[in-house]
Amino acid sequence: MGSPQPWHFYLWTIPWIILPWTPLVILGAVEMYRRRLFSQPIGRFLICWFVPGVLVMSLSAWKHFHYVIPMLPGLCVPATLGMLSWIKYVNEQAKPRNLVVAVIFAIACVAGMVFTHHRWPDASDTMVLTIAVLLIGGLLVLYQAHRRSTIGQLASIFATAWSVAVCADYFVLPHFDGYRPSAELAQRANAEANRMKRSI
Amino acid sequence: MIGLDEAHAAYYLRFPMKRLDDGKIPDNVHDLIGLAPQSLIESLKQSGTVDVITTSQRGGRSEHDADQLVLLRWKHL
Repeated sequence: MGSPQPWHFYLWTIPWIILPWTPLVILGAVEMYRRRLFSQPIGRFLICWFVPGVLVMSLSAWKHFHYVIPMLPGLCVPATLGMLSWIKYVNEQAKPRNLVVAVIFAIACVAGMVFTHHRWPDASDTMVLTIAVLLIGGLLVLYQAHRRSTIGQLASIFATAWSVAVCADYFVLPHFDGYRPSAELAQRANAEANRMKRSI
Repeated sequence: MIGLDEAHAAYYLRFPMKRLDDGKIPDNVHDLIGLAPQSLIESLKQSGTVDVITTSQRGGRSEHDADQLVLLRWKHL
């Protein structure tokens, strides 16, 4: 499954894999550095989880983005810290620009729907549905931010992430998954091989 | 497995299998059941008769018709 890749393959692959949480992981890592948490047991534990594995994987000639997934849970703690820091920052703003952000977000989502409709016409229905779920969830998050409800924001963020992931997994991925037809063909080959064996 | 390299189908085959990554059938083989991409059928027909048993459904949207997998029986001329 893997293929020869340069040593820096995972440096740019990991930020892509962990989207949309990448900015929160960076924010959380900065926050951990500011609080000197990397010299505490929890910080050292997370470094031991993430860094050696990525280094070993980077030294390997054969690389694939699947291979690095066991190292990614180590990024959950900085992502959580980053999310809480961001919510706290937004809640403390005297005049948060939630309406402006909501309008920009809605325009971006609609642009995404139009783009996917033209780029992947066969799969556009399911992709537009998934983006619509993201749009509704994102607006709910911003509404909770407008109410300055930390619990509401956390609940709507995770509900949106879960809903979008389910839509992508069940509706969108089958359009791009090349494995299922291969597996079905192999099963037909197995049946054919058994039939030939019986006839010999 | 003819000209397929690391094809995913190999994980599901339940009988002894031989990989022919270069897409060429050895001279000592006179009859075989194989999986191959659609694009290889014409070159296989130059050395033998090809009966297509079944064809896989289209896979991902990025897949071309020539990449479609075919289960075939090849017999030397």
